[in-house]
Amino acid sequence: MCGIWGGKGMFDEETQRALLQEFLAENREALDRIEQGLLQLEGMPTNQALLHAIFRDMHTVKGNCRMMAFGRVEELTHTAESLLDGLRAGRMRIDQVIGSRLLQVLDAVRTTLQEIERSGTEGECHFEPLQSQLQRLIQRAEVSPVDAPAATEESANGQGGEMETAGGRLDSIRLSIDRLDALMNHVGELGAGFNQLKYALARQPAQLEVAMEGLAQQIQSLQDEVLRYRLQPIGRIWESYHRLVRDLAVETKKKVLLELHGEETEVDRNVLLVIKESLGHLLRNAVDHGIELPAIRTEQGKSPVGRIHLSAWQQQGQIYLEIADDGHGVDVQKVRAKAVASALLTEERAGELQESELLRLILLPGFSTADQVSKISGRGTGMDVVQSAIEQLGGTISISSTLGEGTRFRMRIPQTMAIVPVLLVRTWGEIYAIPQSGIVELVSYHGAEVLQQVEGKMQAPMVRVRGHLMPLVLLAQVLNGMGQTQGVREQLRGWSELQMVVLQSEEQKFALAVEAILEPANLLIKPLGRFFAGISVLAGTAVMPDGTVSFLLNVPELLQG
Amino acid sequence: MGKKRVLVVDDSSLALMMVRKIFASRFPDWEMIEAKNGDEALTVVGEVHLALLDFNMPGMNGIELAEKLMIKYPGVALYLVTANIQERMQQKADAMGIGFVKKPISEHKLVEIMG
Repeated sequence: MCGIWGGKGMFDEETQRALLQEFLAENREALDRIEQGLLQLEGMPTNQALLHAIFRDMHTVKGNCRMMAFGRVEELTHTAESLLDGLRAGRMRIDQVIGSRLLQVLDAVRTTLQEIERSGTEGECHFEPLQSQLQRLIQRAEVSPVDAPAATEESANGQGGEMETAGGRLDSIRLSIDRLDALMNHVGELGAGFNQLKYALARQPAQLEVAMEGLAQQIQSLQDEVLRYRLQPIGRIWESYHRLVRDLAVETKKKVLLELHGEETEVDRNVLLVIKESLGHLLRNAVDHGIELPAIRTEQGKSPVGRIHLSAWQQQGQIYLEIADDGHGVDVQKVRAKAVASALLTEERAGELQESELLRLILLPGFSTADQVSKISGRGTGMDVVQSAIEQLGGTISISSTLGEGTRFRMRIPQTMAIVPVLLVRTWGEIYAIPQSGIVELVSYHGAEVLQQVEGKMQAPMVRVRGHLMPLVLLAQVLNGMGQTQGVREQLRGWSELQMVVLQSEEQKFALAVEAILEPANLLIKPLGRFFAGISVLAGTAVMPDGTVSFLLNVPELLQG
Repeated sequence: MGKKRVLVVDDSSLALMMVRKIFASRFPDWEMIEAKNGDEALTVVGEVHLALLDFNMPGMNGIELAEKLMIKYPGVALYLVTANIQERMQQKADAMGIGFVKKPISEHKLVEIMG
């Protein structure tokens, strides 16, 4: 009985027998539960609680086999566990094939348990065919459509060198043959669409419109497909952050838990390259300056373990990134004092600024309120680099902090290119696009109604829509910063009608008054050029159907103006 | 001073039994308290000097439990015991100041962590 007991001779015979009895009994119970679970799963294939329970039981069986050094069953159950992990993580969905393979695993393990009970050894196990069938199922799910970046060559384009130094191999992708075939199909359809159009032009003018529409749709789906290839889940650059946080925590003698949310959020490759450093820097800052030492945290009634949440999500064609820590926060008064002391602001001006504006000062080059400059951060270099990286992408960064409770950095970055459904509106003769996802409804008032429905003082004009009072924002005013000395009612006096788009911004609804509401469209949105990147009410440039360029409005910022 | 106490939390009764046997034969001056999950572990009364925690358990996982134990027993030595050592998990535990023991637990490994 070679090596049945992990440590040979570790226990006396009686103990070994007791352990073996426990091993058999516990595994049999677990196998029965897995079987029941699998059968139930057929009716509810995505039931997470059930999937977790089945996974855990398989994990226990595997662990028990390892403990007792039954290597071959361990290997088989390990493979089954990996398959279950794939189901649990949503990489695949249980079907009849997967179900029967897993049931076969249970049978095989049961038979081996009988053999172990009889002879004390695994006996002759012939798991190989089953093992490789399981492996194939796992591999099938792991071949993702756009998989890992090619490990070989860096791209030879002009920017190659720059990207290499950024440390990623994110600048090249490997495309599966399936995806390439899909692209070929799209191109084939385009060709067919073109032929139909040609035919209609020459022989059947009545079919012209239908053919045009078909072609437009084909172009659209080809465009979507190609754009999707540029996207990568942000989790790919987050992998290294666990190590970063770990090293910093050990170095600073702090306890830190890094929690990631939204790893699957897809972000354009170029964006990933640019933000990788910035996020790392903010994390470093959070551990070094944000999170307190365990003893201090405990004294303040906090958990000794500091938390850093790193999240990403997508909203209205924009990527949001957030780093929030539950450390001691930034002392706004200190920032104020420092700004005055270093002649950045006059005392008077510093007194006027709002908290959020003062906090932005920490992004300035050379500005740090850390009492002690540490090796890790605190020299005030770096935060300005974060700011310029985000601006380079046409994004914005905002900071909020509560003393004693923590600090939150939120970055908004436009998705590099995307097809966004928009509503076109006109103001001051220019056309602007509003993302359709933020629109609640369109409302217009005519003649005397205009002044009846609008009320409020100069600072906060409100409009009544279906009995609800909500903030009224004049797009013309936001864009021009003009007429601010004049009350809105005065401005509206001459208007014969008020055309409004009711928008939802985070928790609040508001009405945006425009000169004219035009039409809906699907537009290709590109990031703002450097010139406009600082203008927060603009989210990107849109290529209009006639080829001219207009701006996509950034809904949440319109209300801030 | 009474006996030193070790808390062992694992949903596998075989694992618990194995550790119990090792303690009984090798560290008889330690008292071992067992729990099958995090909730049960948190009902333990009295001081705990060392805790060995499985990662994969029903309810809270080993890392979540570790944080709660840190608050309940400041100064307790904590070890995460798990078979799947993903690098990421080890880094997470490290960053929280938690030790790491690879499953299966053995006499040798216990001797190592208990000095």
